Amino acid sequence: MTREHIIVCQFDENLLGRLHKKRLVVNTSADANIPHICQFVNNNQNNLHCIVIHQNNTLASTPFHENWRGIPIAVFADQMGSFKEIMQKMRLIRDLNIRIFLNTDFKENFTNIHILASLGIDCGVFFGENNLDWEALNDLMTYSVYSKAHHATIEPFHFIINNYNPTRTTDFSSVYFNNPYTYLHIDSEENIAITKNDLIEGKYIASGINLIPDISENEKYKEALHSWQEFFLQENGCAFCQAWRVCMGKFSTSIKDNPGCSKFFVDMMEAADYFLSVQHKNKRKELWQP
Amino acid sequence: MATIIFKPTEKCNSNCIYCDVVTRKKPKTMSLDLLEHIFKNIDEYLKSKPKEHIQLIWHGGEPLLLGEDYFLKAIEFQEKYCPETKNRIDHAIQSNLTLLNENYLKIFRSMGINQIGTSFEPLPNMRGPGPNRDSAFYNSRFMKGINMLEKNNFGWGFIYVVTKKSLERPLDIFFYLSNLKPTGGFMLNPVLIYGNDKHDIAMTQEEYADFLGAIFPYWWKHRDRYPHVNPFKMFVENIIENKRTTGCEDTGNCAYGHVYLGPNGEASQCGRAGDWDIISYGNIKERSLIEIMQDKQREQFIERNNILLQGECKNCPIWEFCHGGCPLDSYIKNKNFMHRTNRCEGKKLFLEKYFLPITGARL
Repeated sequence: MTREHIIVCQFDENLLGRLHKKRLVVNTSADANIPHICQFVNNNQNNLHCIVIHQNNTLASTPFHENWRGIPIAVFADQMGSFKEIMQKMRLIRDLNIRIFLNTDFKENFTNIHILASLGIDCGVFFGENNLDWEALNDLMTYSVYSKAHHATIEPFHFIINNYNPTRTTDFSSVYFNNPYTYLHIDSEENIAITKNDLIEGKYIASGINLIPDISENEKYKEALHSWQEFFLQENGCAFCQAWRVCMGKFSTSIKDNPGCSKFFVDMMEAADYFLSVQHKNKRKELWQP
Repeated sequence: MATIIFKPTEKCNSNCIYCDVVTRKKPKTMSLDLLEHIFKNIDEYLKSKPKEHIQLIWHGGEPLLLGEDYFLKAIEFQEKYCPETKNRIDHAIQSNLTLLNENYLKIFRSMGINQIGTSFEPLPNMRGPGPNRDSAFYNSRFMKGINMLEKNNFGWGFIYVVTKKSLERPLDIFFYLSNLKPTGGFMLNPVLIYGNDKHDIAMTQEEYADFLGAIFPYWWKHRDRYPHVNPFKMFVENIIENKRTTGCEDTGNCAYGHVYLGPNGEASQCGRAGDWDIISYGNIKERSLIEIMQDKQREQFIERNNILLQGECKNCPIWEFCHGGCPLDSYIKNKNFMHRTNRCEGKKLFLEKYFLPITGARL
């Protein structure tokens, strides 16, 4: 089966000029000219899926602008920075087609995300390099799924809840543009990789944008689709975990030092089951009509 | 529908710890002449029963060791000798998948097969080739097999054989198996040992009941996640939903429904009876399939139902979906078929200790 992949790349006019009729995720920095990127992508008969802004400074220092309106944007920032500055831009941020991700390495971000979501800003966590605070993540998930107070979505919980099927696996790596069924990463030399990290580390599956349409026949690509099975060839570990179907071994390397992942994802599955049951209940409820 | 457990080869590329066919017997493979003869017999049988179907379950050993050409020959013989009855021959296959390739799948598709039964074991050195059972090699080939099946839209289901080695980790094993196939479709079967338990893998019925019991509370709570796990699903259907669904061992009507055909044409009641050389219905080289299916010895399995209902199973609340269990299990213990099996005790124990208190159901 041929899949029309979304291509993830840096903003490189030369590279983008060689891509046609593709859906694109364009990585850039906070000082980039966002409307220009959007216009450039669309002028080359490509379709902009999202612009990903990697903010090396705080979220508060991001130059949110009126002319970003309507452009799909994800901002990845380590820290939030001055809350006062954020509040000054709140009305604009709320109106943008934007999702803000903060790094789990900084403990205060769990609270920050909670606040942002409660203020109506769609947001999410991205997983840093330090040991994750699973309890804080669980609290945030509980708020995201169960809270009856009105709030915006929080990733990856929102994705899991909305894509959860109790009898299948739910791979939330799409939230971070790393699901090989949906995304392929390429660099300026047209090297193709499954994830952003693979691209950085030179783990390419192919080279040449002309190979993208037939990538599903590529042996390394096929291997990547089945790489989850490596867990099933080990004598212990993630394949024996009840939370596998929503985690799929994403935290296998840190589990020895920080073993809270299983409990978190078990709770996540319970939340997803709960959400499904509520949906079913609501479906059955038929109110009289005037 | 009559079912032929068809074992054209006893050869196997795996040395599974719970199977001694390969070591006990000198594995043989059916000749093409005999294969041809069998299709002539199937045609004759189906012509004598114009409304009946035959399910031909390719079994082994490992049937894929026969090679692609062998299956092509079977198709050729079916076309040649069964032109009017071929639409009433339903093929099925059990394989360990380790030798599967795309050619096989094309052949199976042309035989009308769209799903394959298999078995799997996550614990190390239980299945695999060689004296040490190279499970790493076996499992990686197995994974390639299931990838190929899924890519080609073949269904698959599997059996997990519960042994003494499984008893320490019931939930781990359950999670592993259900993670391997989240859509479900597996069966937790107790190991069957006929003869010496040289690997110390047999367990008591109580241990098997407790193994199931360690999983059941979780399964019951989350049964929407794991809908097709047996024997749990089967118990729910029979006891709570009042449907009658059983495996062949509990149907109580295998007498005239099953036949085993081995590599030399030897006929018996079923795969286990054939493997253990317990019942002989002669040889298809000398008797027709019609004669084999009507063998007088089969009467004893009808008679067994009557004897059990009057005696050991009288007033048993699970009779309707147990029927005293598999006659072969009775034979292992008593050297005759006319008793209920000791698996009855395991079933009852599981139901009384776990199933009924947890579900609130009544027998």
